[in-house]
Amino acid sequence: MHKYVIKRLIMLIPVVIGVSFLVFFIMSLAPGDTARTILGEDAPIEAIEALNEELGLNDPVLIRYGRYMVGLAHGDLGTSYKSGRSVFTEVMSRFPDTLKLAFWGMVFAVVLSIPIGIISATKQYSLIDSVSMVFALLGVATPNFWLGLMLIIGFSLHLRWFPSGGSEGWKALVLPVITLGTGCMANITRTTRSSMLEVIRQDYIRTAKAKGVGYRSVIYKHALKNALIPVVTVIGLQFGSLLGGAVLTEAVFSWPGVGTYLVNSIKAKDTPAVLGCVIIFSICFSIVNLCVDILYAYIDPRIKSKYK
Amino acid sequence: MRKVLCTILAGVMTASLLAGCGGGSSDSGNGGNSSAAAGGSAGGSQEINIGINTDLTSLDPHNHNDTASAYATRHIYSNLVRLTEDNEFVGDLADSWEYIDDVTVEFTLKEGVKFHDGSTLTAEDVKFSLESQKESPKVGHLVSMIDSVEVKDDTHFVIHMNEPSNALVSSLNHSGCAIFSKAHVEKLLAEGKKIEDEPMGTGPYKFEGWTPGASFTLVKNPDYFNPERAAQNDKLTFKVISEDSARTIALENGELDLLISVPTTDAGKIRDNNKLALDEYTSTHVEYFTVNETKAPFDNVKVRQALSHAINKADIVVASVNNEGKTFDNYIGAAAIGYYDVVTKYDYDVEKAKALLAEAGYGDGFSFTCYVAGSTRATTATVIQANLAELGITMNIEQMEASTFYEKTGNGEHDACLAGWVANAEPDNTYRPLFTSANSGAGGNRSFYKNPEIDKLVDDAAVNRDKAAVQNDYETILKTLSDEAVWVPLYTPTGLIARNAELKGMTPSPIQMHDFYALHY
Repeated sequence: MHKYVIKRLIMLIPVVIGVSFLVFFIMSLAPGDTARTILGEDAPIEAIEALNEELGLNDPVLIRYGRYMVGLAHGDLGTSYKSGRSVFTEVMSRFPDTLKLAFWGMVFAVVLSIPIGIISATKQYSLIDSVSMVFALLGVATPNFWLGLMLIIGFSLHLRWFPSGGSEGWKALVLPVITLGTGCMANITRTTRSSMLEVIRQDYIRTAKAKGVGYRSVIYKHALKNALIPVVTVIGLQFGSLLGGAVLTEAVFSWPGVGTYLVNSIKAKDTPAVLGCVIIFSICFSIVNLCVDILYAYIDPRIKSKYK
Repeated sequence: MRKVLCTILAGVMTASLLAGCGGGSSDSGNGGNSSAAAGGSAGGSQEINIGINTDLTSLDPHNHNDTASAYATRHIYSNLVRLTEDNEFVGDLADSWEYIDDVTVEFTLKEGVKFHDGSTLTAEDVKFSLESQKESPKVGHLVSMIDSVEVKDDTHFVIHMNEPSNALVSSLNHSGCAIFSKAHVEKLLAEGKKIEDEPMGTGPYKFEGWTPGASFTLVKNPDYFNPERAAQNDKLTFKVISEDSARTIALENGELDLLISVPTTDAGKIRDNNKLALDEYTSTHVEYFTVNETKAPFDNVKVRQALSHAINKADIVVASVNNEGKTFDNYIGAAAIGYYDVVTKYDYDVEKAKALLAEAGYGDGFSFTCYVAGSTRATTATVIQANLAELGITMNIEQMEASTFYEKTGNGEHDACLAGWVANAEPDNTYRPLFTSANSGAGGNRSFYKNPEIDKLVDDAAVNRDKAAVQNDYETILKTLSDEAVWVPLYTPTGLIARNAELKGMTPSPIQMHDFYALHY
């Protein structure tokens, strides 16, 4: 299996090249003048020209991309046009907060969704199944920013239990985690339910029951383990999207994460900053997917045997 | 092997997550804000929490030109001069200055001014700061008129300009013209660091910490040189809250003591809350509608005058800023230096507009496209669209992202557009970009208005030492612009600052360069 892992890690190189190529050229095609965006509407033309010159933006796009890739090959993610600081430092100063939010959001989602999914599947068409599926539907359909604001109004403004924003202490984590985790929870619940439903109708489950294996053992040992493959896939994909897709939650809760930085960088046409964020996200996403693939092997012995 | 791999994988993931959980709390300067905020609101603490909507970009005054960064650097550093609430320039680090001739000004520094590290300010520090500023692509243009700085002794220096300029003194008030400690900067550069790594000046506050995207903190400088402007609080924490409603809620629940950039939709709610207060001030911000005068029919002054009569500004104020503004007829904000109430006013009069349009030969109307960026201006555009429809004019609205807007209108691709302007302390910085021929397009003159007389008057006002002559120049410019209906000035938004009702000492700045040293409970 270690060969497989090394191969997958090497595959990261073309991923990074492909991602950087796409993002660089899309950014260069976007209209607008970087120096004008950074200096503001009232900046004189001389200042704008001077800044464009200093940032090397007057060079052809291929030369700029080549220069960027040479830097990247040396491990340099470049310097932000807007702040003049190292993009790596900028992203890494925010990344722990993004990771913290994504991790706890995922813990919140998984801890609630898997038991609910199992109960819904084992008690199909019961009241508890209907209620949990309605909530799952609501969870998928509720926009993040709306839920966030409702939680702030309820728990911060009226009850004063939690702060309305910031990232200091565990209390500041509660509302953003619920906001971010709700959508994921709904997705995982639905996947767990449908996957469990499929598995518990299989012959081997009937056989297990016929052999007189206990109900709990049938569900949690035999059925759940087989039903987990699609669930783990969804969790992996959701975790990846939580890392990069928490922009609205970050904005509502003033959470100092990478998502907000990425959006502001796009607005400012700060190409090195955008590239830095996207490259780091794509590496994380690939690594999370790799972890999911490795986990398959431990959940399903059939997959494990393929690695041998 | 597989078990080992799995264990390593689990270990790496756990470690990275633990690092993630620890990362936020390791930043300096932000500890205990929430509890302190609650204390502040109760009236006990002298830590003031201020809500802003964007983060700073740099702590180096030469490396930024934005308001949020200036909130930090204006309090850490001092300038040679400062602008009073009455729009007058007085000495800050400078004790006095005197024009030797049109291009030579001698300054005297206040004695005994100390930097935060205890060293004394000298004229060499000023020379170093201004000369290095000239190299900055972001704020170098502010001192482009300075040829050299000649140091006479520790407290006396002479600025030699390469051409006469009235903008020298006002520029020296800009946050980009902050005065550094030469020794400190040289030491930082020798260590391979940047100025923003350890910002240090002579201002009323010392820098304490910055958590990017979240907050930055300044602490009182007990040795500040000017007792009248010394900090009356111990600490200022600026919290970045980009979402409008969340910002207001943070003020309501006591996490903030003061709120800059109050959403107009929340102004009524704040007024109704007896624990909060809403300060209103006249800003130098003007919102306007303008046409591209190189295109027919907008090259016809009668058409432009007809548009001026056709647009109902009062409706725009209600629709766009929830009535938190005033209709406006001038071309520079009422609180700005260089404002004179001499313009020709065009009342909302549809019949007069129709008559002017008929006179111009467009009685049956015409159609054109108006470019806008931003939701507020898009709302304004829909009101104008309805107003012009009454004259048989079809205005198509094309909404775009800001950088696209600036590029397209800079290239003159537009028929008309909606824009805004916030004047700073130097009137030349408003009149020159917006109305001179040389700045047509990307320079700021999105009307593409070209009038050699105006160019001449702007040039004269920039260098003439006779104040009466300068006033006459600006009055003539304003009269001409309004007679020719270059813009339809629409409204000036009311400046709004919300605060805890108990908080004292806030004096808003019309050019939005607010000072926070006097805030206290």
